[in-house]
Amino acid sequence: MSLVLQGQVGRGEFSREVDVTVQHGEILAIVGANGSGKSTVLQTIAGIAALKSGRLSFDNVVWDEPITKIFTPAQDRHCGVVFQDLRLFPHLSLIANVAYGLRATGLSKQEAHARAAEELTLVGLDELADRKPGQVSGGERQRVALARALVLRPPVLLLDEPFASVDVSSRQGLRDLLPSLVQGYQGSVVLVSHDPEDVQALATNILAFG
Amino acid sequence: MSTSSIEATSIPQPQRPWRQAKRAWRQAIVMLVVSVVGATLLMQVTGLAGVIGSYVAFALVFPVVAFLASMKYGKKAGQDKMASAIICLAFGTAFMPWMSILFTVFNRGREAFYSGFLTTDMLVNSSDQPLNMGGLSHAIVGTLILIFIASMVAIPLGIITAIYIVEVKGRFASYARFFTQAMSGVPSIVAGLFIYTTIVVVVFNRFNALAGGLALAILMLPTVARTAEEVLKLVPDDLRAASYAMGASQFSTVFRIVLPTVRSGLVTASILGVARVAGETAPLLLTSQYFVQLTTNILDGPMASLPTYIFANLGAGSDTSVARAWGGSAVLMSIVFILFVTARLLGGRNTKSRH
Amino acid sequence: MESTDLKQREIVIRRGLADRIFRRAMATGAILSLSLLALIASFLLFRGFEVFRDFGFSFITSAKWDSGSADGVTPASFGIAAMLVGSVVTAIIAITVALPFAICVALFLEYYAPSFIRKPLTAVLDLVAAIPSVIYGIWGYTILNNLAAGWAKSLNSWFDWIWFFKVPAPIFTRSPFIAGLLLALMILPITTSVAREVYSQAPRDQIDAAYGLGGTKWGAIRSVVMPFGRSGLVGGAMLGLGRALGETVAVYLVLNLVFKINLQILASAGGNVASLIATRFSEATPYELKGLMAAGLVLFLVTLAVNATATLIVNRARNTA
Repeated sequence: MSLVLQGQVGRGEFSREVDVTVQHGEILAIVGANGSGKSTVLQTIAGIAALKSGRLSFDNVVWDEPITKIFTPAQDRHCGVVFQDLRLFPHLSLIANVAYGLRATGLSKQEAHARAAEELTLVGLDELADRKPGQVSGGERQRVALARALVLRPPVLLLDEPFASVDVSSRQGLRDLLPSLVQGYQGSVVLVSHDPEDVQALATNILAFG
Repeated sequence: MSTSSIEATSIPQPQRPWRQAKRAWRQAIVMLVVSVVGATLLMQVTGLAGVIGSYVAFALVFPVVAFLASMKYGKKAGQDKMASAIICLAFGTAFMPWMSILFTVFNRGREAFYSGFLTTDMLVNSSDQPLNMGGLSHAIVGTLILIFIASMVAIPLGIITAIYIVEVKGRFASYARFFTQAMSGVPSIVAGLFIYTTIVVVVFNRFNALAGGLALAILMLPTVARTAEEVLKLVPDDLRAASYAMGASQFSTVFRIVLPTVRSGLVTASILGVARVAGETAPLLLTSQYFVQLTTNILDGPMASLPTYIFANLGAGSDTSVARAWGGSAVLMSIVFILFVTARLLGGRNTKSRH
Repeated sequence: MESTDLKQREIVIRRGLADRIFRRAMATGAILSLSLLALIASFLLFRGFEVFRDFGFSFITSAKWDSGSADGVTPASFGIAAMLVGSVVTAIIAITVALPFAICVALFLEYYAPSFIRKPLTAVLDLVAAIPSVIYGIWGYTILNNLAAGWAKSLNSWFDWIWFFKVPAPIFTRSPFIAGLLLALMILPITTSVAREVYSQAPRDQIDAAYGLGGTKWGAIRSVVMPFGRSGLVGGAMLGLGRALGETVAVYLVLNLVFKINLQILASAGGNVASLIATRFSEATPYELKGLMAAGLVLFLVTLAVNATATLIVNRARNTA
């Protein structure tokens, strides 16, 4: 019972062989230089990129297998993703950003906003709920992106350089916050970072990409 | 003299601006004087006359003078100077007629204006009565109604077509793109004929404003669709991917993420579409025609509009009716300009209209 | 090497109900607007079919347009040769005049204008592109007509040894020449904007290289920019040609409608298919209306062919850049 990815990932000309398994409750950190394909692995798991060959499955459900042409679209994988460039929706308030995924699952606006508000409180942003992403700081945006992914209670949580777009001062605060959020989390977590220091405190396993 | 060769070859050289500028000025003045003399001579020989004749003579002589003046730096420098002169002159020449149009429209249009010009119709006044009687309220209202009908059809359909091309990327997407482009070249009179044979003859058996609006919608559709397509393409794919990754369907991705982020661009697309058809005349002659009274019933009978008001008054031929036509032109032009400036202000630099 | 990007791989995705409805709805809308062209063609063919059947090929080759007398003594006779020739002649004059100016204006805006006036000038160009044709018409009718008649007179006096500058009578107003000039002005914005677009995409490094080799600005433009933009320019010219072929009111107002094939461009006689339809429509007999539908179909097919070709050329020029 786990997330299993074995095969070739890549976009365009780029490709690399990957073999990872992440158990429930495990936090796998992938570290390596820029351009080594770390982010591509996350995108492949999220369903934004496709495998070139091999197989990706979660809890024995096949998500992507080129040879059988099976491909589960991103919206049916229910991964929680924190993108490297965050990709908050610029026209929506912070709370609406967090509630967006919940509403997609069929929750009413009221319910979704209630749960989004709880999540924003967890990351300490409850007072800024009605601001737009353009009106808050980089560290705050980063926390919104985390809340947006976590609020879905996703079986798979994907974090792409969660500290990259944060200035040094708020970096430590975020580093302290993240373990508390992920603690007791039952899903599989894949964390990508180019900085080994980031992952030390969090990861249960570390995989180095050359 | 040396400034020109520096410009021409753009080789960086130590600059002494105060002296260069003086020399450049002197050279320009000499060239101008020589050109004017040359042009005068040319006018004597060819019989060119009047303001435009003098301009033409000057435009013919000046590039040659520019060529000769730079010849001493070589043939290439001479050609370069001449090309610059021709290009700048051609640019100026091209803008003259447009300036003439704008000036004439507003200058002659003033004549028809009086306190009631915008608020009365022509029901009790014939077009050759004095200019302080009657007006074009009926034409303004008619144009607004026609534009409204056209917008109701063309804006949703155009945006849906753009969504199909950019978001759905369906089987016919490339055809849809190509044919909306090709459709922008459909002659307006053909759109009028089509609506006449279908809506006017078959459905209502009478001329009416609904038919006019639909004819305009055909002409508006490609502009809206093409511009909206360009606007939708500006939305980064990353944003769509983020939405999908959060479990959202394509439906909610398009309506809750893509469309809201480009709202102002879509408004611009719509306004450009309206500006494109606000002055269309030919299709209206075949569908909503012209009527002297302010009417609001879109299903029964002809309805006035600004273009057909201009056309009808120009056709009537008397001095006062031609003045009314110019007055109508000034109003129509103002409306188109206001629409256009609004579109620019809303859409910013990113929105490019497509033909 | 096999490429497996999401877009390229054939993927069977089962979509949710909302998405299936959404995609179906958008497709329906797109196909509806797509099918408009087919609808236009088939309705005009349907209405004009009787005239095509009655006159056959002579509908295209005959210059005679006569709705006949009410008592049937003079039979109706419909042919659009004069109007077709008129459309082509005025459109060719228009593009011949407009193209050099379009090139110069595009080059000026891209490479000569100081950067602070480039933006406002481009905005003005976009603005004049939106001037309604009826306003071009009224200006052409009252201002250009008299002015250009004088120019035509001069042209005639200098060049009357060239056959198409000859005139049967010394009347120079409302001629194909004047209509062509007005059309040139009307299509200048669209042709210029296409030219500008392709010229702006000329490879910067090659331009710099041409400069670097001791060339002049004009040298760089002639050897790099102009060859690069040639095919796009052809497309732009054809787009302009398509517009000029289909223009109605402006031509109606400045051209004297005469049902005779006239190639003497300074003579006060001519017409085009679109203005024929506008002129005859209001007093046409039912049978003549069918003739106008047939004429409309011919005009539609000609302009569509020109436009589709132009679109292909322009798109290719855009994509190869």
